[in-house]
Amino acid sequence: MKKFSPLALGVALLLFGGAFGAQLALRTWLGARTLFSSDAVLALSFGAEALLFLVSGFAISFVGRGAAVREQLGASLLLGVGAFFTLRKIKPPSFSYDHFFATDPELVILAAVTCLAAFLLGLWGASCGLLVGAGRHTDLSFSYEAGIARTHLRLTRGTLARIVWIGLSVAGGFYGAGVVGSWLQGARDIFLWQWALGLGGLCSLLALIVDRVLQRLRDGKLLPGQKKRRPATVVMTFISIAGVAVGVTALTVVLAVMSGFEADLKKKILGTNAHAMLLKYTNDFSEWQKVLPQVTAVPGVTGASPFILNEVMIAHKEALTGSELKGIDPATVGSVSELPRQTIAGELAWIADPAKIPVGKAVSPRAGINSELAGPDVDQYLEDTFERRKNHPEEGAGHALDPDALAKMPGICIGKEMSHQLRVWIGDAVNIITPLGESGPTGIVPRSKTFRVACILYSGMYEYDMKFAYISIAEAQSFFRLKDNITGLELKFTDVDAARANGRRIVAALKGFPYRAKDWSELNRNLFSALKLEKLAMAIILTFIVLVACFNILSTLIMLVLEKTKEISILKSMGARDASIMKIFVVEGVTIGALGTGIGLLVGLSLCSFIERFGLRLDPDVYYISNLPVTVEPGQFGLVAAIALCLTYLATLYPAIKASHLSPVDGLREE
Amino acid sequence: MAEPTGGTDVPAATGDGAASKPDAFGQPVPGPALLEARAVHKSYWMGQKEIHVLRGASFTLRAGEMASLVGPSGVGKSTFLHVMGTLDPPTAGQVFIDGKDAFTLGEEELSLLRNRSIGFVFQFHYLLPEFTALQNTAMPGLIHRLPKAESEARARAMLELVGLGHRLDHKPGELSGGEQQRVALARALVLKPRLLLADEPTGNLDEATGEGIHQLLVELNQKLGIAAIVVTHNVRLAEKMPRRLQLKDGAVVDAG
Repeated sequence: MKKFSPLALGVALLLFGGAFGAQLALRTWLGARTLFSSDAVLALSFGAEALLFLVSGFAISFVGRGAAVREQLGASLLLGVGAFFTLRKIKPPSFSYDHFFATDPELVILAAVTCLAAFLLGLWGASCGLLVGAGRHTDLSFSYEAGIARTHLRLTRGTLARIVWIGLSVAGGFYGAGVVGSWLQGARDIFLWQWALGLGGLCSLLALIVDRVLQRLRDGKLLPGQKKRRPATVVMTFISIAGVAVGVTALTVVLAVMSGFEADLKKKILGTNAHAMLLKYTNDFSEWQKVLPQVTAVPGVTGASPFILNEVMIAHKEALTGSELKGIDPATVGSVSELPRQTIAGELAWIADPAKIPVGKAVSPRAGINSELAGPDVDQYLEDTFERRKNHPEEGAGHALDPDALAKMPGICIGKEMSHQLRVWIGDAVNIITPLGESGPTGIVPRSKTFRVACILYSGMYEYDMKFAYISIAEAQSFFRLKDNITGLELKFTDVDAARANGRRIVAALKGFPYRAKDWSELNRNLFSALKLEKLAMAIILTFIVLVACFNILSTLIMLVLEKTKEISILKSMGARDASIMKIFVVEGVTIGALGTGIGLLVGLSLCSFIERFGLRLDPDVYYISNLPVTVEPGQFGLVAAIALCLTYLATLYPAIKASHLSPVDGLREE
Repeated sequence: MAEPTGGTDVPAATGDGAASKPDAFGQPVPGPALLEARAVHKSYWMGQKEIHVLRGASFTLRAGEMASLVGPSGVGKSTFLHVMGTLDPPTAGQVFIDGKDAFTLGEEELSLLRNRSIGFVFQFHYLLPEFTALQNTAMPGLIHRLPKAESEARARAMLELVGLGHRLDHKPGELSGGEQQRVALARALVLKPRLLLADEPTGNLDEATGEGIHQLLVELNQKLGIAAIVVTHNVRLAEKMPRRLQLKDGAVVDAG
């Protein structure tokens, strides 16, 4: 047992405290001085803290000349106590919505997590220190250790090539299945190289299976003594590699699908909504014509369009629905959203030019909407609206108005679901009712006006298609009696993800108050934070698969250490250092982990490609989306790889340290 | 006691210049003390029972000196050798190698000592089965972080010295018992340590082969001036050694 080193304790306390302080300082600074989202600030500050804990552990191992477990434990416990009192002074915000500041139990949890993180990350860092000799004589070489590790794993060039072949074949098989599957489903835009890659993968998989079967047949003919016997540890090595690969594959594919859903949602939301809105704290925004050029002059802004938003009721005959009525400028709205490209019948421009809306003739839906519309049963919809109007044109007007009066009515664009609900088609008259009416002799009289449907929009978001209706901004101003006033300006930027920063830049250009900007993620915060939470939960759950795979590595390495006790003794009798023995087993574990991760990433990527090409069908009535969406984000793949490698490294530590602490005579006494 | 000839550079073949000079009878003149045991005690616990293996063993081996150690089975010869070779710490007492109290050294210095100053040959060859004779012999050099080419060159030279120049690329499984033991000997001597500890190197070899290994040990002792303790059961072989030690009641006595 080593002596307790007060120096190491002191250094550990200092470094851990410094790391915690740095986290608090960084969080405050980032929050005050940068435009990062609160999540990004948290991630950056806690990431920096974790890194500092790691480095601290590394440094402590040099001061304490070893892992200094007790010293680090003492220091992290003291840090936990210190963190509790510091946080109580600072009063961080609470996790729950019931309190503004964190309560004492929450602070205890925070402090405990800090303490645990410092201890574990410190040990982690110290393990790296141990690997390089922890201060006495730093030795970064891995030369013969790697050679010995290779023989333990039986990782000759041949075996390595075989493992890589298996990984490539499985991945290639998925890719090939995707290519062939999409071709069978009628896709013809497959490049030659994609064919080559896919068929190559399938052939490789086939060759692998044939090779395996032939090997079996050959083995069957051998006498028992001739059969090659593999040590159990070699079999376990392969199982460990496969375990990591499966975990990594699952993690990458699920995250890619979740990202796909998120990207799909983002696309739909940004198709209907602009990237940000410029609003005012006051109700009067009549100077918008002057503001507009100032806004478009801000770098990064690609479009701006005025809008008015109010809630109304829309009625057609007996059918009635609530709606968000938006006054837009059809000429510029295309520069901030996808609205003009969302029409499935009619034209958005007709709302400003209602005379063009045909009278007494059913406008056909745009060609090809059947294939485009992934929404609920399109045929039923068209039968209820378009076909019905074609056969019963008299129903559309609602009231027996003469064609001239109809032609003079202003136009309105509504969503597909709303048109289904109201059973209206292009040219039909609908009544807009707003409760903001004039006071009459019997109290407030709601105001109403009749509009004709100018176009029908399909955004892909059920809520939007059900709720939104669009009229021209001039109509809206007169209907709501706003004169020149508007609600705000819709904005579009070159970079969607910089929406918040750009919004603040615009507000700054307008000298701040009373202007304010709201970006799309703020406007849809609940949706995206729910999605993010779900993704995080999935990632954590699936990380457990990788964790289980790491336990596999752990047990494989423990078996290897037991199998190689004698060898460890011999190496030690030849003067191998503890750090060298540790290196051998760390290299083994990390090799298993790296091979598994590499294969897992490859298979995950090809599985994503398979899902994307083959298109796993979803019930569009439930999901409002026809195929399972997949978005491969390289950063996400990198993160998964990093997590898997970190976990495998951790899994190697216990067996490696155990092996390095074996006494040289342990393995020599046997026999 | 000799001044410690520290330093990590590749060793001089001999400890002190005088050590390897043969005297009139062809025997090297022993130099200053290389290995000194002072009242070494070693005991094991077998469950509740303490077994005293070494009870105050003391002796001195000079540089270049060669000694045999005999004693009946189970008397603790291997334990004695392990303690002398710094593999196993004694329960009490001290072991000085080159004037340094070995068990007060840190892990790194101890490893360096084993790597540079001591060569082990065990009863069972204990070669690494997945490596060839050359790779096995080169291992101490690699552990010392010598470049691979240099380690292998030294290993090749040493294997040729023990007469295995034609067996470089054979794995231990493909070698005979005597050849395996000679590879083990080459491995123990490849860095030219000053002390060789051999634990029944001929224990499981036939007599003729055993005789050959012994002859080789004596030759190498004369050529390289390496001090050696050879544990053996074979009294006839032990008789040939310049110094004969005996382990009796946990103590080392000179048998004459």
